[in-house]
Amino acid sequence: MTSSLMQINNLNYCFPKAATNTLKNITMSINKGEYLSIVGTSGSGKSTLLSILGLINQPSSGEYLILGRNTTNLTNKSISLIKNNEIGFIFQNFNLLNQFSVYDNVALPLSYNPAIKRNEYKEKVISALSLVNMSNFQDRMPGQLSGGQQQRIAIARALVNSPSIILADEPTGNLDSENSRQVFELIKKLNKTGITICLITHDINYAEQADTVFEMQDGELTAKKNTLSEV
Amino acid sequence: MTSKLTLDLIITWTKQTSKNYRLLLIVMLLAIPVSVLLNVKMISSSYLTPTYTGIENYSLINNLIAKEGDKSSAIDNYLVDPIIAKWPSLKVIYEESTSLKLTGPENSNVISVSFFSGGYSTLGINAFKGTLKALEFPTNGSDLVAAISYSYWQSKYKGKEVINTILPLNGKAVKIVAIMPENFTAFNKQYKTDVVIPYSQKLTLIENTSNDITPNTFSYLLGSSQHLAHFSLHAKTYLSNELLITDDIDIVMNNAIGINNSKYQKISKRIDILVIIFSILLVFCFVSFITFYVGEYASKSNELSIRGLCGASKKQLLFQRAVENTLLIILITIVCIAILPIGKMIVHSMLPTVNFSDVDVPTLSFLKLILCLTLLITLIMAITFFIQETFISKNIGRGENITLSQKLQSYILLSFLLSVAIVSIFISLELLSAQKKLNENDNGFITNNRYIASFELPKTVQTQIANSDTGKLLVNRLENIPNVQSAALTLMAPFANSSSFFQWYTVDDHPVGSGINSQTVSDRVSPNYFTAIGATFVKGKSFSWQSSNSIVVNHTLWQRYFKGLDLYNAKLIMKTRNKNGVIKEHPFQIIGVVKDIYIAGPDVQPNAIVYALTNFLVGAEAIIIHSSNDEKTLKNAVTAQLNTLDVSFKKLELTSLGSLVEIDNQPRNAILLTTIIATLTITISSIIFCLSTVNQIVEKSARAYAINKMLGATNFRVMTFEARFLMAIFLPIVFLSIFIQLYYALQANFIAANINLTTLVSITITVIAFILAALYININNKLHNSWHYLT
Repeated sequence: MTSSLMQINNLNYCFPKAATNTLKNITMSINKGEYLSIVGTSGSGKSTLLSILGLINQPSSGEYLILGRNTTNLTNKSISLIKNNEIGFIFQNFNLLNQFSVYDNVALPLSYNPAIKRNEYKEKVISALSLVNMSNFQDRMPGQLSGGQQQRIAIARALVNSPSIILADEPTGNLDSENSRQVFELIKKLNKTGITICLITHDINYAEQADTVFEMQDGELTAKKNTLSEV
Repeated sequence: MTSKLTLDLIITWTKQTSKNYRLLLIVMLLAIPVSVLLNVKMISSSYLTPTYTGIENYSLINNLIAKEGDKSSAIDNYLVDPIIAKWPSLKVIYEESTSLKLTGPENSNVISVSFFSGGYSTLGINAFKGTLKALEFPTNGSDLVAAISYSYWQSKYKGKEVINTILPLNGKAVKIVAIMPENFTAFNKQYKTDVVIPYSQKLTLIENTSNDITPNTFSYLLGSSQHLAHFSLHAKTYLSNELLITDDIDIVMNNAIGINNSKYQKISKRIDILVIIFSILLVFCFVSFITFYVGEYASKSNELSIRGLCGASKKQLLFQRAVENTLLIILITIVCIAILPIGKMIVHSMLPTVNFSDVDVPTLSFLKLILCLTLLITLIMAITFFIQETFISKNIGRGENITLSQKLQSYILLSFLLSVAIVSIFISLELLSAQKKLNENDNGFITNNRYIASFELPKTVQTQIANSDTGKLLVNRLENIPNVQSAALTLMAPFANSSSFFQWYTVDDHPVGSGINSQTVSDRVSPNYFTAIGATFVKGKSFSWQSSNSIVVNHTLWQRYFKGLDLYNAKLIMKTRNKNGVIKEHPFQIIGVVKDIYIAGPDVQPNAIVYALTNFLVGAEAIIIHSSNDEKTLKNAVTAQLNTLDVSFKKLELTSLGSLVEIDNQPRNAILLTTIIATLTITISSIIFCLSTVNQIVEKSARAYAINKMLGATNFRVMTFEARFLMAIFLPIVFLSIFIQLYYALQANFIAANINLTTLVSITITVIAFILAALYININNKLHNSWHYLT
């Protein structure tokens, strides 16, 4: 039996001063261990939806439950704790801190995890780097790495706190085809270890490899299919 | 916040900062002016609030100076009663330091005595033993009393009981009533006082003296700061209205205690220059620091956003800013402390006359300065953070174009910084020009092949030879030495800090010197003094050995009292007092006016000086020798000649005049060098800042330029548009900022009232041309690659 990790009911989102809603009446559910992808044209609201799922933005109306807790009632502290413990983010442009070493970049979320002591940092960081095959690069600076390697470091950072879900916004947008393939392989591998994946991508080939595919159009979640051919 | 997070933040900050060489350089640049200013503050405190006096309440005492033109002295006795009548809550105190002989059976030493009027209780000077009550303004005729210094008590009496014992001084019995506090060394910076005696007992203790003020006399005003301020505002008007002082006399007050006014002026002048140079540098470095900090905002903002995604709460991010700011301030403080010795070296090179072992480290001032700096930096950081958070929108992860507010902010900052640079460069150039002029100033004498010989002559011998023609004899013998062109005697050799005073008046009884008794700087010289030293005559000539009623005056004196007159009509009267106090007048004919001789260096304006003939030696003379002999040969020859005159001449010292001038020039050269370095630093920093700002703005606007070009705009039109936008912000800010800065610089006397507009305009135009050129080159480069920014 699958249990719901994230549940959205009739959610609307409107940017400040915007005339219309960017997200309209969205209802969806993400189950634990699920591999889900969202496709759609530019400006359809994919990234906005991801920012709400990642607790970066709050919905204008509707209900968003994460692990059964309604996010509307959460304090800032609880939101930060959920982001730290349960969610890992991966972006198109990696968002690594160039002035920090690979080790420091990956260790960043550990500073905000009260359950982890300082003497556990090394083990956690090396373990996360090993998952992405980058354990030999911990002393390097991001500028010294290729795009694919940088994205793998960003994935290691997303994994370091053992999150329940990884939210990936166009993770291969800045990568060539070979690096893109490697990153998707890695994401699939992570999903097989039980981590829930929510992926936004333009690449239909990779999107269709997900268990569930959503399509966004003009702020609405218009379809939910098991394969892209059905979309 | 958890200690784990704090430790993480400290470790991360330390790692980042150790690799951030630009930040370290900027912190270092910020620390140098701070450390120099701190050293300057230490010197000011040491000289303005000298702890060696034992005074606790500095705010209650002010140095009181009568200033007439370039002359400065203590105020005359006759002014005391009118001052007290008008301001009854104030007290006038006199201090004079001198040496007196102990005259007891077992004593024959000379000790240092300070005559001090009183006011101990007000000033917070508490006796170590005994009481100072008897020394508080005693009336004339009261028993002679004294307080001895703690060090004298220890060295002379080995700490034994001395209160109420008698000190035989100058043939009189003086009762010791107190021991001065341990921290008391002297009331006068140049002396180490052994005994303090009431000023009113000077006449009783030293016969054949008067209560006239001397160049060694200091006058002080004692009272509350409000009363002192009131006096300072109204004294001149009141005393002039009461016809007690002439219009050309000013009553000046300052905080210096026990420093000769000319030395105080010299030190304050140099301190002022140091303060100007390093304040400019500090402002500039501070602006650079803030600019750097603001520039770092983009990456810091990115870091904070990513930390937010990693689960940092707003509180934790705010805490991070607080930790980082605190660490930065700690770093600045540490660098300031580490650089303090460098600052001391810089200040020392410019103030060689200051004995640095006397300088106290004002811990409180240091802490205050660091606290002010901390508050200022925190405030600016908070404002910057607030402004950027509130007004500048960011869009992480979607690429960036420069927003109008970012552009405005950069241009405003650039305009402000460049206006500071313009004014800094202008003031530096003015300082450079003033220092260069001082270095090129005609000292009024020639240094080439000129030597100064000094010697000691025992008192017994002085009396023996005083009435003979020894002076003439010595000069003749010295001039007979081979290769000696001329030799002359003087009481006031250049840079010797010696002075001699006589009472000179004009024929209409106007005092030539300071005070009502006209203490006039008077040099006694042999006739060929002017030839020997290489001075030139403005008019007339020197006197001969025979012309005992003739005098020569310097140009300053002539201009002040005889401007436009013929030498034939120019006379001065010298007044002397015999043992019975009867005043005798001696008229002298001025037969020559010599160009001013700057005996204390070019930055000390010479006093009005009277040169009179000396035939005999009194033992205080120096010999000026013009000779092509080398120093050693000359010294041997002079020693031989002195010994043929009397074997008692001792300790002959021969110094080349050129080396003395060189020593005197050292601080000016140091100032010149520092000004050049400061100007260069400011100029180079401005150029770098200007180039990097323009480059950043143009880089971020490149896409907009490319679109304009694609839509048909010519390169020139794109550039003109950007230049107009920049100038619309730059020109009003720069002109307003320059105006405000110059206004304050004028108020603080940092620059002369007659601002050299040509220089200022030239610098401004150069800066504008530079920034436009930088903009032109940058935009042109971007437009060449415009396709790259569109695809």
